[in-house]
Amino acid sequence: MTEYTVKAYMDHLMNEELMGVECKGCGHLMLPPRPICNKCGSMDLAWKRFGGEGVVSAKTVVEVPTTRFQERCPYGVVIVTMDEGASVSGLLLDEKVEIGSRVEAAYVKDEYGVVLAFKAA
Amino acid sequence: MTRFHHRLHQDKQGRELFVEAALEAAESVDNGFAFGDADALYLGYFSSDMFERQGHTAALMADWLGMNPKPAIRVEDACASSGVAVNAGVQAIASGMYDVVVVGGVEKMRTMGTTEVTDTLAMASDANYEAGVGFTFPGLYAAIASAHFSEHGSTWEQLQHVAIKNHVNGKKNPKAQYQETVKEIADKLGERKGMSFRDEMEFLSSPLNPVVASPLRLFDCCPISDGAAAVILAADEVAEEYTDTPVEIVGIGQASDTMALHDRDDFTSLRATRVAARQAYGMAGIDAGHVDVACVHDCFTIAEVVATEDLGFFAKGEGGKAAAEGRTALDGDKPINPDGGLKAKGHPVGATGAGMVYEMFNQLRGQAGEHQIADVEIGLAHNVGAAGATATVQIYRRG
Repeated sequence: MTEYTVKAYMDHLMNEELMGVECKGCGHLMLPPRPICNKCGSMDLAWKRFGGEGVVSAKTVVEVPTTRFQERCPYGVVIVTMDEGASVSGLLLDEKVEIGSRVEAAYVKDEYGVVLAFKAA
Repeated sequence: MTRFHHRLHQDKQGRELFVEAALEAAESVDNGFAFGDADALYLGYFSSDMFERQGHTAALMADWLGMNPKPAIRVEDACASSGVAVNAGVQAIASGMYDVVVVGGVEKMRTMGTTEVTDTLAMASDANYEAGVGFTFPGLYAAIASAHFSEHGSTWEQLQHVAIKNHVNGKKNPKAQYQETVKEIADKLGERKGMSFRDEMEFLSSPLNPVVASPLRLFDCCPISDGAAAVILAADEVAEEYTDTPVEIVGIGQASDTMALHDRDDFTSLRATRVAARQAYGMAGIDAGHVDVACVHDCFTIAEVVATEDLGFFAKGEGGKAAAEGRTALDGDKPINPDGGLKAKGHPVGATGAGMVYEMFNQLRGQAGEHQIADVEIGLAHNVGAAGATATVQIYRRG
């Protein structure tokens, strides 16, 4: 069984650690982790700690939310390309952040668990 | 197909909508058709489980059509459910296993309020890594729009031409949810609110067109709809028993991509569309230039722009400009969504792919009425699941 589970990733987030995996076969980075490399198919993977900093590649401000995020509305969501290379989605904590802005990871805890978030670096 | 609508079907369940659509399909067969003639049913239904608290819907629909004991297969690939069902039906016939299949889709969405529908649609994204950080389904396409604006210089104003055009087309389609132009809606809402608008663009920029997920506003988004569509597919050898003027499916394609948008190399293009189109064009022996009319998956205005680029109709980054120039209008050189598209025709998720086939059938038989495109030989239908983790393409030719 793989150790690179959703639960393991979320547990790391709860500890304010951003953990993905690195493929030992081809060097590809995956964030969040997954059990099979989606570039070369290798299962020879290792945990990879991400520094949490990156650049915003896409952004929206949601005005019609899902139930979980209703009380935050309106709120931003971004796709961040991490300095190490992989991209990941996160809640946006700083309205002034735009595409091209540098951001750093933050960890928001709510009644459902933990949410990966980003704020201006 | 039924009319797609947000209010009209409130007293009907999914089963009644699907039966209504299937009966119309059967009645449209020139030489007559009985459901007992079919070898199988392929049904697209995204989320009967959430919307109607009903699972096992393929068997239910086959039962309600009187098709027992013929096999019934439900396909769930988000908004591409019935596009995939069509391809599955084609493959079943091409394999030689079946001669005739009924294919269709249905979604009964208006059982819920907007927040619950938003929750349900967000399940078609990655529930942990996209919905779990706040993405909604409109939010994902808004992110695509933001990247498209940033990388290709396209603009929100260009996107509005997609909505305006699709409402013009929807007005000509008796099956469409919205049979009003944006200008007519602007005048009506403006009168109610004591406002007047010089033109569509002024209305679309006003608070009467609220932001759903920036930069996308309400009129950038397809509506929530109830509806069903059904078509009948037959092997070449038996089709002539049913009609002298069939429409041929000459190419199909389907592809998958990463579930999460963030895992892709390019946020401004759907690779699944590009791959599915390449397969379908290859099978049909044509290229994008041969397509006379297309139904593309415009769940959001940006989605139509991206689709027309990914399908090869316009160069990358030129889709918005082409829409603004009127090239995709009914009288343009590449008419897109003559039926009003998802934007104006409506988007009962599981019915959309089959609804596009309904339009192809009518366009290629010259019976599309007021929104008929002149002299069409080749049509293309393009159906996308959520933010592009699934895409299907079919090429249709006048028989």
